[in-house]
Amino acid sequence: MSETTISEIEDIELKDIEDKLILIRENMKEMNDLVVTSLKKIEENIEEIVNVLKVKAIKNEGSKFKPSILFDLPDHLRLTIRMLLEIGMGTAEDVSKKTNRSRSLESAYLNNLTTMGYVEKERKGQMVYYKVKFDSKKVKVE
Amino acid sequence: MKLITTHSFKGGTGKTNVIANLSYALVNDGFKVGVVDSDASHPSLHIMYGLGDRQPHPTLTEFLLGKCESFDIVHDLSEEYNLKEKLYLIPANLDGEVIRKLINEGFEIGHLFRGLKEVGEQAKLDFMLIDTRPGLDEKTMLFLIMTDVLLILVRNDEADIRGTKTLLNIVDFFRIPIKYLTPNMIDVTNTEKIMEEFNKLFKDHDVLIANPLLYSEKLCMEHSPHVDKLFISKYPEEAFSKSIFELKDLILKIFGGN
Repeated sequence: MSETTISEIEDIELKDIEDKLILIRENMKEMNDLVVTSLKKIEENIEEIVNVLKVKAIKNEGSKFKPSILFDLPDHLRLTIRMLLEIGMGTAEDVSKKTNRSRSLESAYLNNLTTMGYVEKERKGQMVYYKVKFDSKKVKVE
Repeated sequence: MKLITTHSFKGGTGKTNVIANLSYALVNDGFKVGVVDSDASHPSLHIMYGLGDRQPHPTLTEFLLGKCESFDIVHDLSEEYNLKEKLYLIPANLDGEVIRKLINEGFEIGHLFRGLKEVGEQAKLDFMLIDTRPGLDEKTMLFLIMTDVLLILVRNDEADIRGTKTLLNIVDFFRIPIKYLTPNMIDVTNTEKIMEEFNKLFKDHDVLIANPLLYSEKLCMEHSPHVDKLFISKYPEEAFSKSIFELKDLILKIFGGN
């Protein structure tokens, strides 16, 4: 066998290895993207579960609003309750104008807060008004 | 109405003095302002206005104890200071017996919230300024939730600076729209260098840095032992007063004139 032939065989083998490596690299990239997407989904699900658990835990305590509960509230509910305090009494629409989030989202958040016992709602005709339900238990002066 | 609150990690940072003088600067510019002494166990705000011997009554303390209505605790100081707009003081009672009673009985946080909301609406305030005490009790946290601007007073002092960093991490929870770190008692001969340091130290924190409030020997040595008037009204040309006027301009800029 001539030297040229050996070189040709080597070239073919190398090309074959290179093709296989390219394929492996593409597969790895695809797998990596899949893992990242899955991890993001898992993270979102965990966050949602934590929020639901927080709502349930607070609901079970049967508590009313006092400022320190903010440390236990999920971030999206903290903003809702802050804006409701600023308004005093208002509809989901009023709160949504303050938070720049949709009315339906604020309505859901206000209902979450109502379930927790931190907010109370009052129906006047077609409209539902919300206000913060303060804990009547006296706080200490330090 | 916009709510401006002063707070700090440590005591003695000058919160009460700053908020009292800032109230004058805002009213002087034509705004209706109410100033609240929320530190009911260590009241001192009225003293800054020269009212040490003639504390106005009733106060926030009596309101919290359920002894009077919210509109009874608002005291108009605009005539005393010859101001064209209204400067309302809502003091707390310095009487030891009354403080003891409040500490014993406590108060409802919702009562405080409703009372101050009524005051703001009835007096048609442009600004309500709240002087808090260090630490985070329920009362202070209520103001942190509701405030539009938080001024965090800090001195050029290592313990103060380290504590303020911790405080900033905690107050992140309250979603406060605007937080200003307000360096106080800053050496007038070394301002630039100190502010450079502050900018470096707090660059990773979610906080803006306000103009420095300058140390004034006249304020500390001459004025503070016997206060007969607000410092800024008596010595408007002093470095501290000028920096309070600058802080007022900064606040007005935030709200676009109001």
